Amino acid sequence: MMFTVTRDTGGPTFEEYAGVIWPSLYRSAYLLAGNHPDAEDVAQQTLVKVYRSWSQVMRSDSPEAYVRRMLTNTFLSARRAKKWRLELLTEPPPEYDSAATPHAPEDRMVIWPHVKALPPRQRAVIVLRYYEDLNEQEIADALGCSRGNVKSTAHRALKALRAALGEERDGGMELR
Amino acid sequence: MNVDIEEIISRELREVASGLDVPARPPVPQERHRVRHLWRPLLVAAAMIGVAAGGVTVLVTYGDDGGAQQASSPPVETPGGDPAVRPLTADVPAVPFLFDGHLYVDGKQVSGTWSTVRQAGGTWVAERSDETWWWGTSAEHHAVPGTVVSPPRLSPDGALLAVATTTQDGEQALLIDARSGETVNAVQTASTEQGDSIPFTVVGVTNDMKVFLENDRRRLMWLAAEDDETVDLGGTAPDQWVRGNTSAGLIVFDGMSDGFDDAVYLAEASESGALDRLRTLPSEGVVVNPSGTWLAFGGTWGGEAETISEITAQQVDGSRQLALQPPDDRDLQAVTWEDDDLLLAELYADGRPTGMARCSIREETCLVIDLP
Repeated sequence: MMFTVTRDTGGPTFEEYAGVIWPSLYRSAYLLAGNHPDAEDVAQQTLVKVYRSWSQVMRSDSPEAYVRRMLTNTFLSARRAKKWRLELLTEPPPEYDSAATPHAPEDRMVIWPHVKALPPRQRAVIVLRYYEDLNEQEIADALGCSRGNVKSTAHRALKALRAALGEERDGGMELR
Repeated sequence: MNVDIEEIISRELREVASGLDVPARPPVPQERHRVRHLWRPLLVAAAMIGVAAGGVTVLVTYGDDGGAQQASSPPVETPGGDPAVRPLTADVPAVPFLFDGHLYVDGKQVSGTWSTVRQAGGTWVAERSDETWWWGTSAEHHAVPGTVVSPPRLSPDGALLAVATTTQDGEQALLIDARSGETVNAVQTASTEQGDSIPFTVVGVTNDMKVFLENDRRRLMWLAAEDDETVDLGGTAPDQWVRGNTSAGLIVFDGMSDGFDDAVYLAEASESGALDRLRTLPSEGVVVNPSGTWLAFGGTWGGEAETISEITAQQVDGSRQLALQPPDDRDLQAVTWEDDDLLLAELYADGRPTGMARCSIREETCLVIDLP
């Protein structure tokens, strides 16, 4: 889902590659971060890391997996700087106001607000599994952990989401 | 009405992603030289100026086209370039350190009086004089939850913090992700034998989430990546005692070789609980550099032990050894590595720490460093 790179003879330049991956990189970053300013930070930092490691990225067996790992690590690492950054951002940039309007599509969603509220690792597992369509091993590779850990993290995340949704819809919908 | 929650998640994530207004891609860095050590202080300074002025400072500005423009140049490095080599200077240490009861992180003093600190990969964990434990990845510090039973341990890469603690839920071992602050996993460790509860302490944790626990009677390896699965090391590695972890492997004491030169060794733990010897160590008190290529030990100071004023550094594969002499007439004690070349050491006079030194493997020398 994130992006696919075709390695033809010679391969793309960094400029070409960055141009192709930016939209999908940003979308994935947004699903991880849950808001535009953080998504932009995470996507931008990831792009800088790709630039720094350009030769390694292109030499890797799967540039897509390599960059995905950079993205998830950047997201998880960025969490610790969040408090400081929020002190500086006292109001959202104006062009993103549409996301906060009462009838924005996101407001009508039932599970997305709860996904955004999950702890970062659990959220990352959910996004990698249900948006990127990765299997357990691929998620483990992206997060730098074992398959067992992915399984237990996903279990905790789904349990929390079911509970949150169950409370919200008490009696209206039965979840499997 | 039955609804599959996985279907909802999948559908909504796609709807959110497809409905996004993606901002324009930020400019690609064009500089080809390394400015990494320059831009960070500049960004911090810019941020601090913004805060001091009471204004709104953002590190990304938005142009008329709604796209993002960087407020300052990002760090750039030559793609595929060699890692930077830091020169041997008298600058304040680049890693968290403790001196005279004061803890310094990122050059700032952390409030309080402190008695011990460990650091790895930019993460630190320290004990305050009120016997509470704190950890962090910057000068901002977080309390280690519960009543800490034994000194918490950091994985060699600093990404994980393993803690034996007592909370209202009982005794448990926690594994915390130092990047996000989340508790990755927890396991109950209460062990009641002959009517007494014997707390487990954490003695090591590896980058791949193996946590080593022990009490007076049992030694366990908790496979934290596999939820609450534990391996009884009493059966798989009899009388082998994990003493710590390094980036080159676990430090293990062989109780059956007590008193012999090969009693302490570096080991790798298998999932089944075998401790495979990698090499013999001169003592348990070795410190290993981040990439696991060099180790340093010595000297000793005060008490009844013989004083060895120099530090010995060895390549972990045993191919090279060198002696690092104190920069003055004080004794030298290895503390921690700042990077793969630079080693921090304390300077002792009459058995008391009186200063710090920085030693370089590349330059085979040490110098006294400036302290705040």
